[in-house]
Amino acid sequence: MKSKIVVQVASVVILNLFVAHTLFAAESLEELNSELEALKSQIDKLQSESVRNREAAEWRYSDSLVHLSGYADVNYIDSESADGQFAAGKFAPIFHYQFRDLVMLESELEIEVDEDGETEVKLEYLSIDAFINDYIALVAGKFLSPIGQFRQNLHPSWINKLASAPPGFGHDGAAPVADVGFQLRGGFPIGSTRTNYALYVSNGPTLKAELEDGEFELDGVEAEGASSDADGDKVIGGRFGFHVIPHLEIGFSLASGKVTVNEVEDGDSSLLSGEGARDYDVRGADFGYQIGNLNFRGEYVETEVGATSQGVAASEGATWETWYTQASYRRGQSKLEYVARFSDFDSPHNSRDQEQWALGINYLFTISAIVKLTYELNDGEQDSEADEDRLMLQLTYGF
Amino acid sequence: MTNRKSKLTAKMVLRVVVLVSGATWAFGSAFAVDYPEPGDITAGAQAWVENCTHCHNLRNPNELRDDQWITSMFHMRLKAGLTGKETRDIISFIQAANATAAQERIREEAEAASAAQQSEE
Repeated sequence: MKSKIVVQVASVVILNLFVAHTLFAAESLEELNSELEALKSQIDKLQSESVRNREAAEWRYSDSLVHLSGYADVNYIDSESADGQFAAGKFAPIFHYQFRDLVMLESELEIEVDEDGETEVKLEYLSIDAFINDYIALVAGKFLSPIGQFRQNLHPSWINKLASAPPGFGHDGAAPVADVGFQLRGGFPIGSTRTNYALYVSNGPTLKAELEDGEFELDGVEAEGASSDADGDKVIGGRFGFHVIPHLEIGFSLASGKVTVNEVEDGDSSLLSGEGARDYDVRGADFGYQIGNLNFRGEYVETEVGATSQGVAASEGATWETWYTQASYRRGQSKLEYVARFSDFDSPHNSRDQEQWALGINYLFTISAIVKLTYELNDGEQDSEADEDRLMLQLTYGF
Repeated sequence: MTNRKSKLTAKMVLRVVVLVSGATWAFGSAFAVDYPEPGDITAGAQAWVENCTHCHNLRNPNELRDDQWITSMFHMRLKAGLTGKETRDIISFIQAANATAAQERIREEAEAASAAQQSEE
C-alpha cells in the first residue's frame, strides 16, 4: 500500500515537471521567434538604408552629371490699338551635362508659338565650357553676348522683374543678343575687391539694309549669333566688372570689329554684291546695387556702324543707343514685389525710337513661380507701335 | 583670296594661343583641382547671399538635390564670374544646408511615426 502511494506521488511529480517544462519551452520558443522577427526587420531596414546611401552617394559623387533647368512663361497682353490677347509665351529648357569640374556642355532652346500658331524653335546658346583653372573658363560655341548684364544674366522671365525687356535690349535692338566664337571668362580678387571678366572673339553680327527713296540705308544690326562671317574679320570684345563694395557691381563693356550688309529688308538680298566691311563698335556700362530690400540697376549700350562706299548697299553709318534704370522693392520674405523702370531707345528710324516708363507689381507663389502685372507707358512717334501703352499679365516659372 | 583667308586663320590661331596661354600663365595652374573638393561653408554662405541676390531672389537650398546644385553652380560660376573657390564654397554651404534640412525632416518623420505608434498602443 505504502509503495503504491509513493509511485502515485512520483508519477504526479514527474507529470507536473513534464508539463512545466513543456510550457516553459513553448514560451522560450515564442520569445525566440519574436526576437528573430525583430532581427529580420532590423536587417531589412539596414539593407534598404545601405541601398539608399549607396544611391545617394552615386548621385552626389558621380563623375558625370546631367541637369535640366530652364523657364517658361504665358502671357496676356492688351495694347491701345488691339484687343487683349493670350500668348503662349516661351518655353526655354536649359540642358547641362558636366564631367567632374573639367567640362560642361550647356544649351538653351527657345520654343515659342507665333501669332499664326506656328511653333518656332531657336538655339539661344550652345557652348562647351572647359574650366581651365580657378580663374579661367574657356567657353566655345554660341553664347549670350557678354556685353552688359541684361542679355547674359537678366533676360529669363523668372529673373526679369517686369513682363517685357527694356526697349533696345531685345532682338533688333542696340544691345547684341548672342555671338558665335569663343570666350575666356571668370573672376579673380584684387585685394579685397572681387572682379569678373569676359573676353571674346566672334563672327560678329551681320547688317540688314533697306531701300528708301531709291537709296540704301542701314535698317538694323542682326546680332543674334550667326554661324558665318562674310567679311572674315572677327569681332573682339568683352566686359570687366568689379564689386566696389559687396553689394555694388559696376561693369564696362567694349567690342570692336567689322560687319557687312548681307540682307535687304523687304527686298532681294541676292542683288547684294561686293559689300564693303564697315567698322563696328559697341560701348556699354552697367551697375547693380542691392541695399536692404531695395534693388537698383541700370545699363547703357551704344552700337555704332560705320559708312562704306563699296558694294550695292553702300551707305552712311548709323548709331543705335539704349539705356534703362530700374528699382525694385520686396520687403523681407513678402510675396509682393514692386518694380519701376525707365528706358530710352534711339535708333536710325524714328518709328522705332521709344521712351518708356514700366510699372509692375509681382506676386511670388514661390521664388521662381511668379505672376507679374506690368503697365508700360510708351512714348514714340505718333501712331507708331512704339507709342502704344500696354498692359501685360505674365505667369512665369523658373525650374 | 585664299592667301588672305589663311593669313586670317593663322592670326586667329595666334590670338587663341596668346589669350589662353597668357591667361593661364597669369593665374597659375592649367589643371582644374580634383573633384569634388570641399569648400568653406561660412565663406560659401556669404558668397551665396552676395552673388545670387545680385540678379534674382534667393532660392531655397532644398529646391534641388546636392548633385543638381553642383551643375547649377558651375553654370552660375560662368554667369556670375565666380572663382573656382567661391563656387566650391557655395556648393558646400548649400549641401550642408540641404543635409541639415534633410536631417530635420527625417527627425520630424521619426517623431510623427513614434507618436502614431504610441497612440495605436
